[in-house]
Amino acid sequence: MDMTGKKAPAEGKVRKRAISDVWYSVLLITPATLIILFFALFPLFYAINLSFRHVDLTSAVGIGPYVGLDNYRFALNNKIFWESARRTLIFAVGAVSIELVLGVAIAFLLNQLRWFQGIVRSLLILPIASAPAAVGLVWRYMYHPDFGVYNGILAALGLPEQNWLGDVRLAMPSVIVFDVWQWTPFVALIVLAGLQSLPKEPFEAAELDGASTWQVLRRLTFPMLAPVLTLVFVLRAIDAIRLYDAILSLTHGGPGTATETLTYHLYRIGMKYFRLDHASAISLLFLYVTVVFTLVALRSMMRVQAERARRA
Amino acid sequence: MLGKLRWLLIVVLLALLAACAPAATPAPEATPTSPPPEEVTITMSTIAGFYTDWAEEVAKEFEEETGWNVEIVQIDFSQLYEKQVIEFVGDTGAYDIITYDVGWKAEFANSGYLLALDDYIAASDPAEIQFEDIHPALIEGSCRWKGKVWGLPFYTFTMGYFYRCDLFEDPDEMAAFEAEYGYPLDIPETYDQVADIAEFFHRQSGDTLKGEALDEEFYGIGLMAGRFPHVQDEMMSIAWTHGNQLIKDDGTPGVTEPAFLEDVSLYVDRLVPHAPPGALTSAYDEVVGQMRQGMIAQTAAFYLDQWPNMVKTEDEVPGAEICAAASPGAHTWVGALTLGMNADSKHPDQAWEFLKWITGPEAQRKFAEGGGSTCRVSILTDQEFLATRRLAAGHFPPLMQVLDHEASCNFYPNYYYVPQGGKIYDEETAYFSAATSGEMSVEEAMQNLADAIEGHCGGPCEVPNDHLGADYSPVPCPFTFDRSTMMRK
Amino acid sequence: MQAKTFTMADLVRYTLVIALLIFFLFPIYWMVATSFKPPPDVLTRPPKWTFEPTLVNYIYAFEEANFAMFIKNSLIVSLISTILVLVAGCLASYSFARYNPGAGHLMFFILTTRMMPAIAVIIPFFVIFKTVGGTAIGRALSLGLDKPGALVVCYTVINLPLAIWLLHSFFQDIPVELEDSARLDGYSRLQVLWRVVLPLAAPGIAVTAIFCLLFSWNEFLFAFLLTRDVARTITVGVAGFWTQRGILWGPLSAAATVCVVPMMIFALLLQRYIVRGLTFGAVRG
Repeated sequence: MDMTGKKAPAEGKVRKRAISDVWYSVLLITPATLIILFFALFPLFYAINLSFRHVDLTSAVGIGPYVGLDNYRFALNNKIFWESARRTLIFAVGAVSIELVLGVAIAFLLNQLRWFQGIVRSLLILPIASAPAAVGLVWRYMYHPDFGVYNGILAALGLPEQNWLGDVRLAMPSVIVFDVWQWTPFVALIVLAGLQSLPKEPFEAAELDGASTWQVLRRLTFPMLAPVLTLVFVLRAIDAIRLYDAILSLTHGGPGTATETLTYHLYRIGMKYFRLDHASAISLLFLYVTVVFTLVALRSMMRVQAERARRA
Repeated sequence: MLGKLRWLLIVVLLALLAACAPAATPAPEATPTSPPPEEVTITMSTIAGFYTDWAEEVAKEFEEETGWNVEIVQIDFSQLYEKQVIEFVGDTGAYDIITYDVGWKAEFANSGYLLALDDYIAASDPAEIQFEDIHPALIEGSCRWKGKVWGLPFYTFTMGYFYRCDLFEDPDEMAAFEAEYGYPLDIPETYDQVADIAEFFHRQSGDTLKGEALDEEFYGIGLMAGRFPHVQDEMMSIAWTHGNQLIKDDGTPGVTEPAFLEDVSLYVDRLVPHAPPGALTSAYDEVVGQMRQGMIAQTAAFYLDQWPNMVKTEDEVPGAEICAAASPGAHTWVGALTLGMNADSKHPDQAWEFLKWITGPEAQRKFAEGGGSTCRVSILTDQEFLATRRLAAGHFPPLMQVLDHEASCNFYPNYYYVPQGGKIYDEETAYFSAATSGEMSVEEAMQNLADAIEGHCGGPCEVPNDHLGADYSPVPCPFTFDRSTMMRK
Repeated sequence: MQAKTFTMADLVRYTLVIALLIFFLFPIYWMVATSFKPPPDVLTRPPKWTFEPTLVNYIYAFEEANFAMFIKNSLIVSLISTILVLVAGCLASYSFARYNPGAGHLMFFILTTRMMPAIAVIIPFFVIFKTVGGTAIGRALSLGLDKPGALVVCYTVINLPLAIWLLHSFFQDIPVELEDSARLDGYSRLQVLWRVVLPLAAPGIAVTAIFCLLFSWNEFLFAFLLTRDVARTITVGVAGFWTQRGILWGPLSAAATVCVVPMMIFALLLQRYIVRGLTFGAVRG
């Protein structure tokens, strides 16, 4: 009798294999692979092709002749490209580091809760589930210097009101705050899960040995959490450098170009100027960087799974 | 029942029109007067949220009349350019009728995205179009390029100037102003005066305004200084008034000329400090909001079509009166949202019928009745129409003056003709905003803008405006605002 | 069993927790509150904390802004793409878990297909759907521009890598012995998959479904560029409240609430598996 309670056919006999395991495995992956191959490879090659040509879709040139590495050279020499890359880096470093520190702190805090831990964890998920394009607009309303609730709260407390999205010094930090709001729970919940899956024995032994909290953290907790922390860092980093919806909703890249990240700049080149040559070249450079990061993520994921397998 | 009555009215009106119209030229096959047997859907892309009720109503009447379908696709203005261009570039023909802004006219025409309308106009019944009724300044600025007509306008956003006339006419304020600045407080005739007024009316909490103590800061001016296209509209209004062009006659960028830099500096150094902090993220609606909250005394060059929203201040701020005038020099962003025909359209003849209809005198009158800023002179100057409609049409008199001035002076900015206009518009947005917010110094921002302009044009830009002919004025003409036409409360 | 007493440390902890909850939940509260505010109360200085709730904003969103259609489109596109992802994903993921074709390289490649910035691929996608949309198959399957089929395909492609990776960890958890014993009982491999493995992987399938729904529902850029009005989805619709009167924050908040709340409910229901989903299966929740 099998799992579903039905009588099995020809119980006890080993059936002859219709096709080999290898072919079977290939057959199973065929639908997914075909879909991905066609829809990922075709655009990739299209973009690679365009990146080596002069492409100006709204001019008479259209998709023009091949120009070798000119587009890549242009991108790498273009100060606007580097500035938007710099802003992306500033954003990513700022946002991700705050999210990591805050997230780890929250994870430790949650781990020590004796009541309602489940409910608190559930509530913390809500920011992650919201579409940045939509909730970003709500945040823009909340950041409004005249009618926004954040300034309203500041005013009620007697503190000076700020021009969150209009002041060049505050615009990027305000975007970072939005990202921290949305993604710190991501870090917190993952680190919490990691914490809760740590084995108890080393900690009990350390307690018996009379180790201080600081020593436990330094020698035991963080080293054991390292794979999870690395994974969460890489996952956040990959997403942070691709931020687009939030910038569009919050600032349109402004004031001036203060929050124009690489993806937003890419959007301008591709969709306002229709210079697909530059856009493709930059995109491929970007893809290269992201793939390298993903490799690192992969190794972290493998390490985490190996750890789990080892302990199991 | 109401539907049938309306139908009847339309038929009667059309019959009357037909009877009154002069002898029409024989219509060749280009414009069939009877609907073809097959089902046709005409798709029009237009700016979202702008009098769409009116557009839907007009479309419905047209559908009933012709038996064809009309689909109106609404697109947010910030995305209108790329959403339409991607269809052009992809040769989809998805939109039969498209909407373009002044800055995009040359680009769309030059790239072959639009059908020239001259033949269509010539072949149509003039009474249906009444082409001469559309203000010549708008025809030239929004419709003509390289001698042909590329669209018909339906909504003009030509800029003027709004101010709190109750403040400007308060005796104490007037006395104080004259004492401080040496000339009477009145509608500013230069941007220096705008700056003086902005400074004068910028009051802190505790100061008095119109004899009463303020419990919040009051600002001298409202500005659209955020990263939206509107900042360029305000900025260029200052530059054009002084005869400074974005693109010089030889096609090179004019933004790094000392005179131009002075204009930008005037905006950044003398206007922005007296505007609410929200100016740095503002578009037009925020300025209207500020006026209606009683926070500002005046605007800079501002879209006259916002009058119906602006005038509501009078209900929301006790004692306030809003007046509409022309901005200093009256050389501003003169233009309209214009409907053009997609060259890829699968049924241009039918699309033309709808385009004619919605920009035609009848639909435009309905538009004006609903508060829309029409482009038709007959409606703009219809005194009977205006007499009872201050709240909807109080801006028509200054609008006419600005348009008349532009047409008589024959000074149209070179920018209106440059084929890379759409791209340059986007760059201006970024760099003017960089200057106003202080992200870059005025010189640095304008140098970046000049570089960007040259990048897009690939050298000096093409400025095909020879058709303006000998009358073309390379410099702006002097202007005095005639206040006798102002519609007061 | 010791009695749990509330200590000073607990007080500190729970105070911090409450502060955290306020920080993370306040914007959501404000969004929902604004959606129920009468229009004059939306743009006030200072902001209004108490007001008479009204449904006016929701009515506007549904009647004037055609929101019901956007919701319908989002639902159709998300649900269908999720189903396709689950079918193709389960098959592929199971194969990777059990037989590992491609020795990990293929799986890695699949993961990296998500990494390409959308702008570079949008024109090829546009071209593909424009061309396909004109063919008979394209019309039958609704695969053209401004047709839901196009977005279904896009989201399937985007979510397949996530699904394959996520399901991979769930399939690996199922002991091989169960499958082997079923095979000894005489079942074919497909029957084993259908009868033994999939029921055991049900939680994983549920989690994958939720994440696919979440990412499809929240996606903006492809929906924006590949649809016009008929197939427009809810995230694109939220941005469409800028009128000649200005941004209508009340209806916009209503729209954002409708866009955001369903996904939040989903996330709450399956919060047990959220962590696993977010880490592509690497970390157990």
